[in-house]
Amino acid sequence: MSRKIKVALVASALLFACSASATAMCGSGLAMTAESETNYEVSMDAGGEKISTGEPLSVDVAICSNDDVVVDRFKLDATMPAHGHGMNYVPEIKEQGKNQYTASGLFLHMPGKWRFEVSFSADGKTHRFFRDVDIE
Amino acid sequence: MMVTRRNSICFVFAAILMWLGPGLITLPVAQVILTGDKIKAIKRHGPWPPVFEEDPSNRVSGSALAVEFGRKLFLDPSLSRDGDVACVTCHLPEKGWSDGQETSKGISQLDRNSQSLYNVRNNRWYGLDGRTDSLWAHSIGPMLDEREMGTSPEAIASALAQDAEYSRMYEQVYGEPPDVSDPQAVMVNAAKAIAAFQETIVSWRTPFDDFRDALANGDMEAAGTYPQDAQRGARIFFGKGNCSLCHSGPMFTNGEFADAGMGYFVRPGEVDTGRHGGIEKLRASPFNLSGKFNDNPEQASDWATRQVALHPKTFGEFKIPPLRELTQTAPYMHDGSLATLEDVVRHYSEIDEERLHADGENILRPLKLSEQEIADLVAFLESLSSF
Repeated sequence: MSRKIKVALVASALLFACSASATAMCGSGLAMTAESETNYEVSMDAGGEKISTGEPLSVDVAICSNDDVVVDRFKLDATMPAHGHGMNYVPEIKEQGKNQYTASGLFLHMPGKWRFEVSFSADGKTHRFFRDVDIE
Repeated sequence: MMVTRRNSICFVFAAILMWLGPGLITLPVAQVILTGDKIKAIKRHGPWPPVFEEDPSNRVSGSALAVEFGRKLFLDPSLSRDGDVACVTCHLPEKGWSDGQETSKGISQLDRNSQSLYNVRNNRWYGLDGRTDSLWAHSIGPMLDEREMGTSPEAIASALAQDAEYSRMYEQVYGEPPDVSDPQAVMVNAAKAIAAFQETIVSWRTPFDDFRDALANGDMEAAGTYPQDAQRGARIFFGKGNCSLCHSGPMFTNGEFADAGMGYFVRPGEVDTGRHGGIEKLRASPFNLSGKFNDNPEQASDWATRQVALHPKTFGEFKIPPLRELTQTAPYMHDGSLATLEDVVRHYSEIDEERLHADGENILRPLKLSEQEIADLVAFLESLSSF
């Protein structure tokens, strides 16, 4: 096998691996961190726009698992841990498909570090995830 | 008189400089003492003025005819029950569109300070407790309040229908004369015209805006002409004072509510519930943006009304006021109990943490400012006014 063919094969394998990995990603946004051990992955996506204060915000959340489980009792909230307060509004949650949700009417009224918190029930347990975002 | 050799040299040097002209004489360079994050934060407090956007919930927003009709109604006391109270009674142009009193007086004495109408169109909530979600709905409140104008939808509709000038103006704006058989609709339309007028009350550019724009344009020489004491005050405002967390954006408010450690009692045994009571009134109002009087068919603007949370911490919270044209709108705070800007700064400098909600903002701490810092912060606040 020539050197050129070997390089092409390695490149093809790498491309395949990368595309397979992208397909396996949970959602398209920011990965959220699990508070404890879990079989689930969660991502949140604010529409690709930079999250800022002073404007109502919608966030898409995807919950992924290798098991064919449908989660329920989905909740999303945002708090400022350093200030000891959350939002002044209750997000409106809509299910968009299997284990996919949109939370709208979030309003981050101060600049600083906000913690997005997601929880849901599955396998008889409550699973909690979070993601810190610095807002200007 | 002895002329020394050194003095002679100085005279010659001075004469040469004078002859060459002042262009060669370099005065001390004005400096920008703020850096990094603080400059970034300052840029977010402009530009000014903002672009006018019509209120989608008010179909006559931005209409010149409505503005003129609304201006006439705003100034007219004859619409009140006793014929001697108008909107302008508590919102005087010469007092920064407030009234200069600790607490206002309509037909009878009220418990809160009159808020300035400068830039009032840019709010999400109206009133110190945010009891209304549109400028037109907020304009209805004083008309019906027994302590303010004490009138009724029927009286307003009748007055507009019987007055030839008002009837003509109403028809010009709304395409039909006032229908006394539907007094509530006539009253709402009158309020929408009053709101259209109030939308025109916009404050001027200020020394701060020139400073902010110079920073945004990278013109540090122009920015350096902003007074040094105001810059030192800005360093506190955007820094250790944490003021800009709540007083953010071009309006210098995030439009929300906070507990600022003021008293809750309006008189012995009676408290002002602030935002908590405001949310309850908002939800009960037929004039909120979720109701039939919202002219926006999609009612997209009512998200905040539907989703606002009635947290226990809202008890005793009051609107975070905008800070533009502050020098015209003394006294300060929801009850008008602080007479000067210096009093306000001293209040935050020595704030009594015992008076703050245990579950409220964990931001306010006594700043323990020095006398120089207090003067600097006041200088900064004064630079948010145009005169």
